[in-house]
Amino acid sequence: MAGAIITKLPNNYNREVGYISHYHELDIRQLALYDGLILDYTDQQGCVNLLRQCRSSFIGTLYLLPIFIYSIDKNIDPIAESLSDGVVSSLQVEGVIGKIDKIRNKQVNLAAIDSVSPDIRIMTKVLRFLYTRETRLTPVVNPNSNIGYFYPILSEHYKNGDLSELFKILDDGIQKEYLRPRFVDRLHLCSNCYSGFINFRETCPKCNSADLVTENLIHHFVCAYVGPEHDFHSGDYLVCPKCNRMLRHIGVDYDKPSIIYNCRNCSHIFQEPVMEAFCFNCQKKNPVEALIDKQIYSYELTPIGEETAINGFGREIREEFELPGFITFTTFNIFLKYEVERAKNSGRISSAGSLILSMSDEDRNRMGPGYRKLAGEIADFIKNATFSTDILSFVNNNTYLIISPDSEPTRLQNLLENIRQSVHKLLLSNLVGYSFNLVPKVVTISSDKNHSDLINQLITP
Amino acid sequence: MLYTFWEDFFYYIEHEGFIRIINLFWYYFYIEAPRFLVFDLIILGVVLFTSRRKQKVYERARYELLAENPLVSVIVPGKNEGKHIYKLVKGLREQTYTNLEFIIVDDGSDDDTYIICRNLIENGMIDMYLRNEERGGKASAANLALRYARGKFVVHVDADTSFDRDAIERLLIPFYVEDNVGGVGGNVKVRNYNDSILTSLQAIEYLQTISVGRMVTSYLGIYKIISGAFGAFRKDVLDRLGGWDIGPGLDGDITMKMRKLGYKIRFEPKAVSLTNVPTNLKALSNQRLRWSKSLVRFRMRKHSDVFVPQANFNFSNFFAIFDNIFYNFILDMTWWFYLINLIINNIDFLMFIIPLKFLIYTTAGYIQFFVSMALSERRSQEWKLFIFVPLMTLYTGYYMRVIRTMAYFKEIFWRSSYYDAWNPEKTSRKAMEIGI
Ligand SMILES: [Zn+2]
Ligand SMILES: [Zn+2]
Ligand SMILES: [Zn+2]
Repeated sequence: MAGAIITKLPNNYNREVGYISHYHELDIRQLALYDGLILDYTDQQGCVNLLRQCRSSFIGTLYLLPIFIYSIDKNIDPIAESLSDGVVSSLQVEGVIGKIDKIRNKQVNLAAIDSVSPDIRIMTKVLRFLYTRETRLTPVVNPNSNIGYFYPILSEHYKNGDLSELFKILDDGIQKEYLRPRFVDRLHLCSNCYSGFINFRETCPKCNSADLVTENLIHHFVCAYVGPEHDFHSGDYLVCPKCNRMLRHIGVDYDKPSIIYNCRNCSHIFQEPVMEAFCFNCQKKNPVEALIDKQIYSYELTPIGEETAINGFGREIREEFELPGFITFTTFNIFLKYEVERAKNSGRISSAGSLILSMSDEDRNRMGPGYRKLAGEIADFIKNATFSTDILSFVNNNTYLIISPDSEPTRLQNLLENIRQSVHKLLLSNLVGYSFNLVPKVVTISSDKNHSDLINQLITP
Repeated sequence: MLYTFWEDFFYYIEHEGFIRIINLFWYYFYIEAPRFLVFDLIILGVVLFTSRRKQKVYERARYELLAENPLVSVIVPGKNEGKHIYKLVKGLREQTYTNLEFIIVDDGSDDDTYIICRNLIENGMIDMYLRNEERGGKASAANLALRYARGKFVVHVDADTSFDRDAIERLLIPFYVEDNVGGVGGNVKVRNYNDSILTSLQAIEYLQTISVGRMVTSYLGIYKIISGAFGAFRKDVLDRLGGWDIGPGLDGDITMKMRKLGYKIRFEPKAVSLTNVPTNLKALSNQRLRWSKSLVRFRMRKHSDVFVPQANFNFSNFFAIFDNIFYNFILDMTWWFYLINLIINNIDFLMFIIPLKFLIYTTAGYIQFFVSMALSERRSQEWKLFIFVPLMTLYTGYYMRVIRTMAYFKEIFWRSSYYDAWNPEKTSRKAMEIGI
């Protein structure tokens, strides 16, 4: 078999778009050099494998790489399609360049993330994939998955054995408000292995056997005889065994008041079988009420999720506390974005700044709840020293952020320096044995600035 | 004043003379006394004189029963009996006879019967719980249990009944005393006799009409009603009959059908069950109206063929129903004429006749009461009821007669039992259509 060849598709858009039709011995690392790929679907297996390899990578340039499937007539495997950025029927770059540009432009905004926690890395992948694609995380039916559904990007990281982890990360995403769910389906899963491959069956309450026969009971009104339907069978007719009358009309001369179960294993007679859910995957016999009731959702990125996709979780994993008069970081981001837009439109200059309270971890731990008090006192200083038009925020438990609309950076620089000195004078005397510093930073908000760059400058010590 | 009354009273009796007094109260002396008082005394004599010989036969039958140890199906058909069921099952599991299967049929209950029975099934305390979502009537519920019963004998019990520990064992023994016994009725006594005067009166009534009365009819071979509260049947005979027919009065009906097939029906006074009786007049009246209507519907209509001389004509069946119809229905009607006649012809002497009548009935009542005490196995508790005996004149002599008369008229002229909510409408309509 011929080795892999990546054909560069010529175009006038200054983008490197590759076309692959042979997947044998392909080194996916070289794909990171491309702006987009088109995969030939003739070798279906090779195509799907390559897609999965890219999407399960933790390297941003690979899992976010715009990839299209080229196929003229074949039906595309829905999972492969969900991992791709679309199916094309021609190799013209014109057909894909719009999408490639969009993804690439968004990708530029993404800050570097250096987390080692697998949960955070996976969540970051999901959020960034959704952010760059401006799409929902939509589950695709997958008979090979124990839960019957496949989540693009996400499912690649969870084997059938650890699907509970998959649900945990999605639930976490809802709880932290990165993702907004929309109902798709409801699952009943094995309590042992999270598999939905379950056989519901009626069993004998006495011996648990599923070898049951059911029959209707018939009540003949006239003579009060009650028995299973076979008592009444007489050729094609129903004839009462007690009074020999023919049964003519249900509801008028007879009815079927209930169903009777006969266990062929222990010959127990009953009407209330025990419902049992047998898991084909782990062979556990679950009582029906013990099954796990799970909702399958599709997910949409929230503004918080978008923010997190861009900037990562950073240090805010630590418990965050709020200060009165200070808006949340997310809202602050929106204001900052708005200020940048305003600067672009009006050509005016505004400034933003930060004060980072730096203290050694050791001191901070020693201080305990006193740290929170200190942060609050500094916040009061800042509030008193700024204008009411200034926008204040507090993030990472140590960074005070401020936007000063329509003000020169030097004015803000002076203001922050004054605050720093006052705080040192007034508070340091109360904090014998501790050392801390308040570091001011100021940036100019102008039309040529990108708001996430500004944020990065402000919150990086 | 009082003195002169008694003076006049005794003067009246002396003046009238013994024979005239008897003739004046002919209804009692010629009709009621021979049937009730005399037979009570005879049965007391029979029991006392034959008890030793009977004891031997009884012991041998008991041995046979225990040696064979047949499976016995205890069936409990009922609607909304949830509050009784747990106690009933607990009690039944205390029985000395232990080869029992318990089948509860829930006839469309809307109380907590379902939850209680599920629990009993899960704990293995009952063997079968069958349920009709929609009510089919008591007969159909009993028939459903019968269809799936596996025992050689079927014991039919009401959910609000409780039992002496040896009740089922004793109830089964008569099947082994004689051949060809199709059913055995158990003794039913009143558990709540202390609740009110009304329940005390019913307790005395049960002692007289069930405990002693059925010993008499059983002895005469005209015993005709195995009480649904506690009775045992041979399963094969029930199967032959196709089980119970539409009620009310299905207890008497099934017994009559067995008798017609030539089976003996026996009463076992020592198999004792206790039941709660109605505590207020309204509930009691409703219950008795229903019972009395069934006399018309079943004895006079459905089983009227026992009066017709035909191939399977049988004298004891004839008398069993004749006794029932004569002493309840015919005499009930004639009693009113007797009473009116008595009043009109002796209007001047009513002041003497009323106390005299009361005196005669009360004396007879005490004789009957002492007979029932002599025959009772729990007389140490029951003797206290003696203070209520004088009131029985009012209870059985007047109250019960009025109720019975009302029931007979309603049933004869309006067939009102077919509209009784006791049966579901769907079955009553059909029963009426074909006239059963
Ligand atoms: Zn029939
Ligand atoms: Zn079984
Ligand atoms: Zn499983």
